[in-house]
Amino acid sequence: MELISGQNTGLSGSELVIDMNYQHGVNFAGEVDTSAFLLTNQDKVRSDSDFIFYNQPESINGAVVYSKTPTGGRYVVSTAKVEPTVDKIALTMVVDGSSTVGHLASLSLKVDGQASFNVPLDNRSEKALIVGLIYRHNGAWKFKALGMGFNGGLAALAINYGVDVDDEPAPAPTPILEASKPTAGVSLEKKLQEQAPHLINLAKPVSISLAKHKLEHVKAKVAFVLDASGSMTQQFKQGNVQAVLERITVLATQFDDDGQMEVWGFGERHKKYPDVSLSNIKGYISGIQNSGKRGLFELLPTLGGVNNEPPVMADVIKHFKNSDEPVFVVFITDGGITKTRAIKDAIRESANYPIFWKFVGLGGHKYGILEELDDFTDRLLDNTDFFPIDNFKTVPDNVLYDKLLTEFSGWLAEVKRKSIIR
Amino acid sequence: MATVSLSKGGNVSLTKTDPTMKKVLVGLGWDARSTDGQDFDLDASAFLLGENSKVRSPEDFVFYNNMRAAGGAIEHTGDNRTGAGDGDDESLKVNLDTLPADIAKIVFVVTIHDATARSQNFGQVSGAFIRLVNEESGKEIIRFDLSEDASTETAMLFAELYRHGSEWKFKAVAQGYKGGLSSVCAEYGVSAN
Repeated sequence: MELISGQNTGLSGSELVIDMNYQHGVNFAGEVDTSAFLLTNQDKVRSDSDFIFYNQPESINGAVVYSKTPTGGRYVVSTAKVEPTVDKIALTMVVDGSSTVGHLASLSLKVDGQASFNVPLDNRSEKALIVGLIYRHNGAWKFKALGMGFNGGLAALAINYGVDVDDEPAPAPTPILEASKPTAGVSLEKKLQEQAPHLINLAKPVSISLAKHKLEHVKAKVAFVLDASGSMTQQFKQGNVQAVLERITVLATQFDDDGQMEVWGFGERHKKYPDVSLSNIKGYISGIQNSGKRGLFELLPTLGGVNNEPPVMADVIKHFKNSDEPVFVVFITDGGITKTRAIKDAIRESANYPIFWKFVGLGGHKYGILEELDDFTDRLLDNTDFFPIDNFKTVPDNVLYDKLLTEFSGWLAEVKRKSIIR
Repeated sequence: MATVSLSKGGNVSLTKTDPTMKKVLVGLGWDARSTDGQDFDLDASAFLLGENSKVRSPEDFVFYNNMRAAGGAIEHTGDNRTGAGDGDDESLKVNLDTLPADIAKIVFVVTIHDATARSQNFGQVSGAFIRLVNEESGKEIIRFDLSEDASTETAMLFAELYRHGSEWKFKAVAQGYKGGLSSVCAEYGVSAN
């Protein structure tokens, strides 16, 4: 039985095999990801484990088993295993890339021999669709064809169904950002699966945070500046520095123009290290720590044990001042900052260039000037933000990414308005 | 009294199910759209018909632009264009005792505004229902699930109230209608515009 959007039909059988299939149109740019959400009668997930996709292919008790296929996805629903608190299973798809579903040649859903639905695709602007629903009705299971969704893609779909998205409001969208270049077609999940499978769980929070901050189509250069003074010893030892670097590297994979992130370390002196990317992220920090002979109180060889921020900032500015793309510098420090005037001078100078500084306080105290950055007005524009992480292990990834991206898109709109960058 | 679930064409004698009913409320409710796209704008309307099953005049067509008729014996409580809000989003209230004697029948209709241009139907709307309630007691006499049971329709003749001797009877019609509100109007003798 071929259904139209809105139409429903009763289903029989205790095991439903449902196939979603799509075909790219000639101008389609991006990737299609198929997924499902287990929903309560309030149309919400009970927890993130109710979001089923290729990286979480089974619901808690195997009631829904998903598998990716070359042209879509297959869902096997064992209706007897569906928990009573689950009222509905939404079968969904998302376009990751610059295209909308309107650029697909076809999109269909088939419930093994019982029902099928071809989604009308002309003039569609959505990037995420609820293609169909499997739901309880008067003690039986039914299928509803829908094909309705969200222009905002995965983030909007996830928010609609109550999947863990941080409550910090996204900045207002600006047309400048929306006109930026599309992302590369290969999805972040796939890159992680191939190059750094231990980081695959970061794909979702990164994608959602970028979308929330309207940065999914923005390309930037991402840099990582690391305080390697002696007081950082515990942060290095506990693996927090490596963990933070991994999280920023995954962000850079999606956000950076070439997926390669520049890295500086500083103590009393500073040094630029090899670019980091997914291919060399594993053990990167211990690698640079062991790249030479370390003196007493040194965390990185030859840099010395005290913190001296202005020279490394000057080097970063020199490196990026003529960049054609916005530069997002993540500056990790545990505080103890004393060179306030010189740091202010560096920030003030860099406000004339496409450089944004995100200062991250890691397990420290006495952040000094960093805490006052928002009141610091005698510069061309606000090109800094600061947030402290008291205990890295307790900060959820989605919160971390949201805090990292806060203020960046507002700054980017401002530098474009001031023609610092095209 | 439990709500009678409506089967198409079923007859309910109000004198038997709720003999005290003097005031009828027909309530229409639906959920505001959560997905992107044009809003779902459902409309509740009523036609006051004479013995000949036609309106006496265009004023007997009660809808969002003609909210009161028959000297106030029937009233529309207002147009809701999105479905925002809980419970009934639009309602029609009828005082059976004050209806003029030459009105033999009232037909209640629900339509989706601009359904064809917007490619919409009831099945795409979440939580859409229409119900008939004894306004004084609050008792729900009948309820119809539009989202589920009229999913491919864009207009539906929900129910008729009609005189039978000195009583009022109720007929659950639940008949889908092609062509939207204008074709229902034509049926009952309301000329376009």
